[in-house]
Amino acid sequence: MTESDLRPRIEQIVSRISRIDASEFHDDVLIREELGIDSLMAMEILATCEKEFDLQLDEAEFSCVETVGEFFQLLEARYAEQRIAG
Amino acid sequence: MRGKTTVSRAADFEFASHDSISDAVLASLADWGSRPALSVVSPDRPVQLISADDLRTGVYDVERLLRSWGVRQSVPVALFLENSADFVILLLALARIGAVVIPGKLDWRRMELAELFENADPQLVISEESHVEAVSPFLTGRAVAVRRAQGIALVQEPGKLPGEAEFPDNVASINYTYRGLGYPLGAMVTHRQYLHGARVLQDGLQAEAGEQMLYSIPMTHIFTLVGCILVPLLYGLTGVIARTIHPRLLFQAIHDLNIQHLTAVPEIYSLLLRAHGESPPPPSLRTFVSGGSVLSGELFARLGEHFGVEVLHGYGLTEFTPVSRNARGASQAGTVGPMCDGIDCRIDSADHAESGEIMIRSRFLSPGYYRRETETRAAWDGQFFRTGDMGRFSVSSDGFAERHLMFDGERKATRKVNGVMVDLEEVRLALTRFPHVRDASVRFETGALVAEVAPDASGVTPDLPATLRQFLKKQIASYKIPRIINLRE
Repeated sequence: MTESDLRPRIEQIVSRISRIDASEFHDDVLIREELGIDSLMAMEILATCEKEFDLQLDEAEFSCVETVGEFFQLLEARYAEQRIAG
Repeated sequence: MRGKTTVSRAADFEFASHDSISDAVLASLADWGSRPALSVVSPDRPVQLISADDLRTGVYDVERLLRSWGVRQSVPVALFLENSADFVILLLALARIGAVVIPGKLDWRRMELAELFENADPQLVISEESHVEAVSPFLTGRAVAVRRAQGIALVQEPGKLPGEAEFPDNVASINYTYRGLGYPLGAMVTHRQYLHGARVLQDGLQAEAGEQMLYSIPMTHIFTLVGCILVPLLYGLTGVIARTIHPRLLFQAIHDLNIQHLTAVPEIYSLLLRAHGESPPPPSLRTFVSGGSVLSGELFARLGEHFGVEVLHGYGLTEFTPVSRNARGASQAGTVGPMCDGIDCRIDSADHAESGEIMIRSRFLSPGYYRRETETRAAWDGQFFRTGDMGRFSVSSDGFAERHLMFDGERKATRKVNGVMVDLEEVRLALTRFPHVRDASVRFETGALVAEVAPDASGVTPDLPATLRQFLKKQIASYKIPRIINLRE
């Protein structure tokens, strides 16, 4: 799987957990304020993405993420690092 | 005529010898041995272990420090601290002095904080250094201490020496809660209530000294204070403070630290269940202690089946915790267990078989809401406290006293979001503070807060919901911000 394949898979996960249609996931949308993703949902998204893509995501790093675009960038970066390391 | 089903357990309870949580805990720690009293699990550092001796020493040292700042009996002291060993040490040190602790929620913002500071008027505020900015509008004229990596330090001297306030006998803390009135109420909680609560929870848990209890729910909640701080410290368990709710880190801690008991809200258990997958359950686990919000019969069954644990769900209030709880070996799905010892309970219903308001009576019940006489009179109906919650007793052949209480939702205008109480009227008032909002209503629907907002003509813009959320973020805790905001005429 390439980084470009990643985004639709992440969108599916976030949409399933948050029950928000993926069409709302624009890069500049605020994850907490606009999508209403709370800390429990965020943890479930992190845990599911870790399992799905065989990654380890840093909670502190995620807490600095504000927008949907930043979240995708974080996951894509971790995924790329994992592939290089692996 | 209305019927009242009463279940009495008051006659069965004899009170413990200690009258203060600090005396009881320090006596327990004296016989502890070499096992850690506390462990702290953080995402970004190794596990921190605190021995019983170090905890005792910490309490005495901090007590001396607080006294040197002028803290004495009946002085209200607000804590705005993360889950930490320092929180526990401060709680016990303040209890030794006889000061009154106000556990402040770190999520709270302008509206809630304004009520807390006006109502309780804490003379000393002890805050995480990173949180000072949030409370700064309310610190004028108060002593302020901050918690840093190096310890706790006084950073602002009081305008005058801390003054004593008037409290009923034996009050340990003021814990803020809601009754749907639009503002928080400070329930005065006595040392005896804490000790009683810890004892009846331990009666149900039947934990053994040397076992470990892990928790990640905020220490400011009464359920955490009683069930996660006091139960372990009084009954010889190591309390494991998890500063994360990340499932991977929680499972790792359960495995590495050989955890027997986990205490959490149903929403966290649900998250753990979904995240665990098909891996074998951690073999050390024995019980999941649950409270804070409704645990469905289905989740109860799935947790037991998947993790091989007994799930002990219960019911309690800030004014009195726990009211009822399931006990090991006898827990039942879909109930909050039989009444705890020391409590009379009435169901105020039209028919004995029907659901009605849960009313409780106990000599350990909160003596009332601090500086809120009208609200106190409205909630205390004679000797009974009107919980504002609905419930009924299960039909059982085991005898009347062993009937289980079934929770049927709130009668008051509050709802639980991820185990945390939200006052719908407070959220509505916060929305109406926005300059272009004429009116608003707030409801709880399929697990989320939904607001209907009527803006004035100049306020109708496509991005109003997003603007409102940004506004609310400064007014109220983020978990109270409605997930859906609909605009109406």
